[in-house]
Amino acid sequence: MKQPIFTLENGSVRYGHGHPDAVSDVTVRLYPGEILGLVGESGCGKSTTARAMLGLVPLSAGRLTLHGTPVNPHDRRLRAAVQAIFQNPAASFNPRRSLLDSVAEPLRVHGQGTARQRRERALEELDRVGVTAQMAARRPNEVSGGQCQRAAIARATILRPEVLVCDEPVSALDVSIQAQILELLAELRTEQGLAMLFISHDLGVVASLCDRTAVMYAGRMVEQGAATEIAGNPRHPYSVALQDAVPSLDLSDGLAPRIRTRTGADDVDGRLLPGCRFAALCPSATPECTAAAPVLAELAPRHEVACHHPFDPAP
Amino acid sequence: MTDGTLLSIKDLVVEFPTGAGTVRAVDHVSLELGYGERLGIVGESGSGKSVLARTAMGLTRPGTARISGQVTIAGHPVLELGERRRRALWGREVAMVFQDPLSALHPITPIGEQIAEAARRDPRTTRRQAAARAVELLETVGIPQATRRVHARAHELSGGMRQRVAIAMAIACRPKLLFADEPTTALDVTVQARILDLFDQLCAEFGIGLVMVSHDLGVVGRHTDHVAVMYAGRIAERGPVRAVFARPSMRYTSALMAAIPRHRAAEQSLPRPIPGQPPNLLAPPPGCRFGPRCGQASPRCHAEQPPLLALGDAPGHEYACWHPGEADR
Amino acid sequence: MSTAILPTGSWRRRLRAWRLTDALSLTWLGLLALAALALPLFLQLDTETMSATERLAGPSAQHWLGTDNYGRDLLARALSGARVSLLIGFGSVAAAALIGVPLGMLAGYLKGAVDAVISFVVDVILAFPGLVLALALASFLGASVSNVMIAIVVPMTPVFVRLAKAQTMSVAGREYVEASQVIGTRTWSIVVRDVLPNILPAVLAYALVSVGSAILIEGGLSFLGMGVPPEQPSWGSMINNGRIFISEDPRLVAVPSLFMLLTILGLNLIADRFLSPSAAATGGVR
Ligand SMILES: Nc1ncnc2c1ncn2[C@@H]1O[C@H](COP(=O)(O)OP(=O)(O)O)[C@@H](O)[C@H]1O
Ligand SMILES: Nc1ncnc2c1ncn2[C@@H]1O[C@H](COP(=O)(O)OP(=O)(O)O)[C@@H](O)[C@H]1O
Ligand code: SF4
Ligand code: SF4
Ligand SMILES: [Mg+2]
Ligand SMILES: [Mg+2]
Repeated sequence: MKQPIFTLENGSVRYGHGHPDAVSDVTVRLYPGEILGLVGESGCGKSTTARAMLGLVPLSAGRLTLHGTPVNPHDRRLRAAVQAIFQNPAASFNPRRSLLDSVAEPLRVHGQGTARQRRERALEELDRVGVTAQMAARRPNEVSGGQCQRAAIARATILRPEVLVCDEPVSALDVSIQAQILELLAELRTEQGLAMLFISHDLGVVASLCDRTAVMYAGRMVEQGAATEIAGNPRHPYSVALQDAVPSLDLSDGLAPRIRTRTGADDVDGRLLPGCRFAALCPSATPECTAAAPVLAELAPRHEVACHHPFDPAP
Repeated sequence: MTDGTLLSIKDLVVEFPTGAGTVRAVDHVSLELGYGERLGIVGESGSGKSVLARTAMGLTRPGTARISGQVTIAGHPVLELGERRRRALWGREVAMVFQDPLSALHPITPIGEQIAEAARRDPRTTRRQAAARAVELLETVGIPQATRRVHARAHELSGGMRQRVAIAMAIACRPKLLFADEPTTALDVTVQARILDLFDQLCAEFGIGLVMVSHDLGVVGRHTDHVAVMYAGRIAERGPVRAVFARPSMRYTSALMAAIPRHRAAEQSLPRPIPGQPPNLLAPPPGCRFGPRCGQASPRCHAEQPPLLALGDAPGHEYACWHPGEADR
Repeated sequence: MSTAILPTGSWRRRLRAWRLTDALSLTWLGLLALAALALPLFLQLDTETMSATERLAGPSAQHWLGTDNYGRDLLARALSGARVSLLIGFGSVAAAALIGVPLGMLAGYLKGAVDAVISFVVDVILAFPGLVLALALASFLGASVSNVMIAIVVPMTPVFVRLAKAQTMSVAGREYVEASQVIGTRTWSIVVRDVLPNILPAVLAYALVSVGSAILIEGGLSFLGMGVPPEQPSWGSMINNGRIFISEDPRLVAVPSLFMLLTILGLNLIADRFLSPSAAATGGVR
């Protein structure tokens, strides 16, 4: 089996004392040429996981490894190998510099080429993602969100990294533009063999782009498996509820939800529960669930679920 | 449409004069909605959905925009009414739910008081009745322990709960028509599903007519009866939801449907992008607004604006396209 | 979003956004600066010649704004006072900003222990009311232009620290700073290239307002006799001198007060431009 390029192993992050862990004991493995989707409701810790993998927040437990060896978040190896794309296209560029300057910046930081060569390379890279030289001369607030996100991809790939961490890269875009960006990312995966972490709250996007999907709930990983499996045959009750909630465009689809979450517990903070963090909402919860937190276990080959009573599609 | 017309929009044009030129945000739009019916307005951002909804409700101030055309809500000619009479409609005949519930809620007044205040827009309601109604409304919109929750403040509630409170305020005086502008866009899917169910329930139970504005075709498809697809300020296609989704005929509709990622497709496939970008409304392309991005565009498309034509499959299904079809799907 | 593409000629739009009041403010400040700084090079402003016959004389061809109780030319003294007031105003603010902004940026970007130490010192200084602190310092140091400046800089610097810290924290949390971190940009480079240019509009706006307050504090100190020594005319000392004659001839107080008022008003109006939405749209303050 392939070895992962980049991993977060049993990582936990805490923002300040007195807060519960934003993410607890999360393991993410990224393989070359493979996109791992990360889904879950807002506040469940997706961005924190991404920020931890980028070394933007310190880990309170766990570690990062690159090519199998532990790597310090400030290591320059990490900086060249792991790049990122953020949610808000315009906000991820310095508003006072042109897109071209910003895209050439990684080359300058890593001391590659002369100013002129860097410019050429940046223009090449921008052209590859579909940004014209004329657009590149503009500032981020003078171009559309789609153009900006293309430039962000150019900046992220100009150093030829091995890993791309994308935090909601298409969430701010309209569907027609979103599809353009997804196509571009899929190309990068196949042409450059990039490993990607792709965060989205849109299950459709993840289902159509990713190879594997991980589902997070209240700071923990609750399910992981092939993207088609998670979309078509989710086993964790939360994943099932999540999939059920998507208003499908295919009106002929069966509508009956497979799981009804318990009402009246919306405001319960799962992170503070002693056992399973989904227990307050889960219709299948038993005393066992509130007593001990379930751990991720392989239910089928390459399909892991953290649940004492996984959902059974055909009872 | 049965039962007479609740909302009628005729030939509505809304233009904003700006420093760089005039933006025509709504371009000759006509729509009708019967009592108790649900209409979805979909389109990408900037297509004019919000301006259309706000203007229909009488919220667009004539000072900032040039408005022409007619809007009638339950027999009231909204655009002709004076400020005072128009305000009298709000809450009692028509109400609106926004994307961000915080914009509708006061930060420190307890939510019960705010709902009671909304209920008192109807002058026949006494203070005591209004307070009782607040509790009743909270229960109606699915907030448990309503007698306790009336004392809560907006910031103590989750996003979904806040949106429920905003909905309670909107329906406090039993309006006949409810506009909802991207009411679930800021919410998680699981919460969104429950809010959408609530809209369904309210429409069925109280016979409220609903205009739901959304960029999400799935949301509209599942929770409305009729749909109007907007592109660059114009109606691209409209009709009964099932008919439009089953046979998208204007090329933008079919392209849009193909651009939406499917989450439970049997086989994994990427959504199909639409090339280019939506037009700059300061200098829209001549003829069909979708022309520059359309694979089927002919010289006629670039010269002449296609009119809305009826399609035979279902009454009311109309599309604006010279070369209709669903070959893109 | 996609349709809201801004035209590139942002300079033209910025210029168009200027209002009449801005033009007037700039004109006034420009003329004042010119008169205060350049005129003395060409002609000797006679601020000292006393004249027993011309005491409290009204405006005339020779003395445009008349004379004071010693028969000294009021306009000459007001312009000469402008030199002192502007020097103290701009000088002390520049010093406060140059000390305060880097400290604030360090505290805001590095956080942790650096922030704790800097913030503690700031809190201690800010615990004293600013004017009282200035008064105490001025009376302790004695009356001179440089001492007045010190008395103003000490209570003003912490405010710049706080402003720069708050601004830095808000900018440092934005995605483009994180994007720079991810590509491996070194900290000092991020601070200089990504943070500084984006907090500058807010700092400049506040600095302009502060020049006004510095001029006001100088006036207050001089008015109380603890500022600029009396033989050196400043607006504050002129008001101080004129106050005995306020009922007899309010002009003595009115002339320097008017200079002060117009100057501070002008500075505040210009500062507003830095904070306006149009400035924000061109990359200024949020
Ligand atoms: N800078 C921060 N300071 C304190 N808490 C934070 C910060 N960023 C995120 N959190 C908290 O951490 C949790 C996870 O947030 P995040 O990773 O942003 O979730 P997601 O990206 O899935 O929406 C949330 O409860 C959030 O409130
Ligand atoms: N007050 C306004 N002044 C100028 N242009 C406006 C104003 N309000 C909306 N517009 C423009 O009208 C168009 C339609 O906007 P909107 O109805 O908000 O789109 P949607 O809700 O479909 O995303 C946009 O191009 C927008 O820029
Ligand atoms: S462990 Fe128990 S409570 Fe948690 S998801 Fe599984 S069944 Fe539900
Ligand atoms: S009218 Fe022409 S350009 Fe417009 S959608 Fe139809 S085929 Fe395309
Ligand atoms: Mg996030
Ligand atoms: Mg809108």
